[in-house]
Amino acid sequence: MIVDRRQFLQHAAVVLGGALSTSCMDAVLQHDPGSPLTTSRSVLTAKQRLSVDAIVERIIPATDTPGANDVGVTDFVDFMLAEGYRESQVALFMTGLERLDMMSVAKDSPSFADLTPEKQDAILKEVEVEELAANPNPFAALFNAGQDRAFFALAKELTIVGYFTSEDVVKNQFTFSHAAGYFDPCAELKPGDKPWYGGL
Amino acid sequence: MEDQVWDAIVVGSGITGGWAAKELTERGLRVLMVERGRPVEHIKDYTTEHVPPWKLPFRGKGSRKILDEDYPIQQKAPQLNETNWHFFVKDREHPYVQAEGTDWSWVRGNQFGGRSLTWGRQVYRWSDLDFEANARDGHGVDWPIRYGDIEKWYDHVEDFIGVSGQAEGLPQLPDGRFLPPMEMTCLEEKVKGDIESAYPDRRMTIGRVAVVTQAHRGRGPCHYCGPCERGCSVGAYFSTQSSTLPAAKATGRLEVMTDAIVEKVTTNADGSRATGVAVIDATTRERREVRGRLVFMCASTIGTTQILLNSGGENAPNGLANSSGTLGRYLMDHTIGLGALGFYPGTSYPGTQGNRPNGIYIPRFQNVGESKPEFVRGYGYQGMAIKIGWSAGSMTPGFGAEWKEQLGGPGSWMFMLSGFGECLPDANNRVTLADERDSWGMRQAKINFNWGENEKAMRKDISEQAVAMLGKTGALQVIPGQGFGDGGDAIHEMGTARMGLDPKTSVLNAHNQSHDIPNLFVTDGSCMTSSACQNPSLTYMALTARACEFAVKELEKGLA
Repeated sequence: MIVDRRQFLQHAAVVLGGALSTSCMDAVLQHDPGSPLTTSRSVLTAKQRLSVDAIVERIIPATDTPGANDVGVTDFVDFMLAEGYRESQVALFMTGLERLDMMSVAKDSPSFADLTPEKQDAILKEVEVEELAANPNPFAALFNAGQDRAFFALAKELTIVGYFTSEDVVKNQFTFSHAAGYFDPCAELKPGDKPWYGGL
Repeated sequence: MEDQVWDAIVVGSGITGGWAAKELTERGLRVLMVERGRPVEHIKDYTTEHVPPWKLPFRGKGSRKILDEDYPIQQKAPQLNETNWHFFVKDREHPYVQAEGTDWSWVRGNQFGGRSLTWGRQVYRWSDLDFEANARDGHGVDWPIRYGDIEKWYDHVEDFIGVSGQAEGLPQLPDGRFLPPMEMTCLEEKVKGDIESAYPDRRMTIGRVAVVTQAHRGRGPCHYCGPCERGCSVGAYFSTQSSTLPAAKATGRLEVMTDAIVEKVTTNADGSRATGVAVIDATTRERREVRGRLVFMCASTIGTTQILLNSGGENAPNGLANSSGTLGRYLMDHTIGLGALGFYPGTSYPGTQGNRPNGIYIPRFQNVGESKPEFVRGYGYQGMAIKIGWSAGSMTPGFGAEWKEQLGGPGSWMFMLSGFGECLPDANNRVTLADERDSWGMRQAKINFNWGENEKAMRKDISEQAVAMLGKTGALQVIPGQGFGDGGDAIHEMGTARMGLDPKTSVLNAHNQSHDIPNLFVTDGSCMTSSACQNPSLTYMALTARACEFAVKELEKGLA
């Protein structure tokens, strides 16, 4: 059951027996939630964008469902780097991108974006193994939310968030409703059922 | 407004301010409610309600840059995120001073409705185990009331706000007037069964929550969207806007003043009676006075204390209503911290549908009955089963096609237990006035706070018992909680204008009335004589309603 805000409020008005006044309903419905969305801010160069395109697509490749590039994850990564992080974290990420290019030179390619997917995977794997060796506790991020993340850990996190919060993925791969109207505490998934999207 | 004398002035519009306004207006008084923050209108100003994740600029993750620049302290509130940070103060605009060695998180929502818009909504009665605690073990002074004095006020408050919960018949956690309880998930039922059979003295119950599960007094039932703290158009959770404000407005006797910072409580020449409050216009900085026959302080624990300390003058150099010298002292919060996390195999438990804005509760069991641990008082746990879905991907090694399929699948489960421990009253934990001033020229609050040995011992036990309990529930792995939260992290600060029998050792009497100034009442968290371990808001509400009845009777007798 997917309900938009208009349907929801109309439903709510019925439940409340008209306690929501018409003027109130109008005020709410005329407000366009999410309108401040501005993904125009950007810090990545054209070359860096190509690298990020390649990285996010290796993390979440297109299969029988869309990949990271299909749902605009690079734009989200770019926006987050521009608006969402301290300078130190952005610098750490940019250094990570440069390093991928240097590692690619050793594989006879001018840049990470020009490598074959197999070679890209090999480099990313090497970087992830290094990062995990330096910080073996996978739950550390839960307790240290304020600290800068390592390069690939951040790339993965932004890719996952950008992908699994995109409209296409949420609506097509999950059962999504922002106003379920009920709580089923033990919902068995039958074959073919989509998992419940747990919100934010 | 300038020339009139209000029957009562209520300072603050949060949980207790809203209750004072409702009770006093319904008893016939003409009330002016003064709020330092901006107006927030029910429904219209819930601008992020039901906004889907793809329409949020930071997709719900927020911005580390904005959090660190604007909300370095406020971000410690677990409910703060990019969908509701507009309901929290920007720290640099609202500074306070911390004494050396103190880490205190002062979480605030300076707007109409205060923190009632973003609160955790968990509501638990206290029992005589709590009201007798100080007298029993000698920490702090005795409460001037017992459960019997407040029981009918708990009834009164619960009937009005609507509390969903399950009766359990436990003496240490009295049952209330409950709407139908929310349901436990399959994993929660399993954990409940395992814990209760391994520990006959322990009980797990569904959270008692101020969210209505059926239509209630003109408010719509919960529709399980999940994030209440964005605001709720149907008014399913209790807030000033959804509940007490409409009732107070309906009397026609309420006036609201927003963007009005109360600087001090004013008094008559000999300082024996309050005459009103001195107010600074937050925008123009213009100062003026409003007059009232009664003054109710509901500005939150530290806010109220700051105002009273600042209201001294020749008659009261240590602050108003402070002949005892206890005003500002005995600051308490709950020790809060993760007890343990348990992880459960694959898809062994079904999923859920709908987002339940509530968890489970394990009532206090230490120092109840036969239990005699190495500390006094006790703690309770809040917790819940949490689905580990795609958001755990950054903690899961790997990437690529197979990994992606796994993240998009039904996911596995974890179970979280967090402890809320009682804090003992300590005279050294206190709020004073700093020399530094805020941008309105008011002296800032200065906070000195350290956890005591009893809280430290309790914190250790919270983790050990949580690990042991989850160890009985078939978890693949249980990890203990780390660290010790800062003071204020539970956002349950209280105690700095305590109630007591003796005017020499307390600020307020059994009716939240100042011992020194009979037309001054304090009914927010600062009135608390001990902290118990239950979430305190329900008790603040009950004490407020009780004090209002008393104050109106006193007024009729010619109090002011």
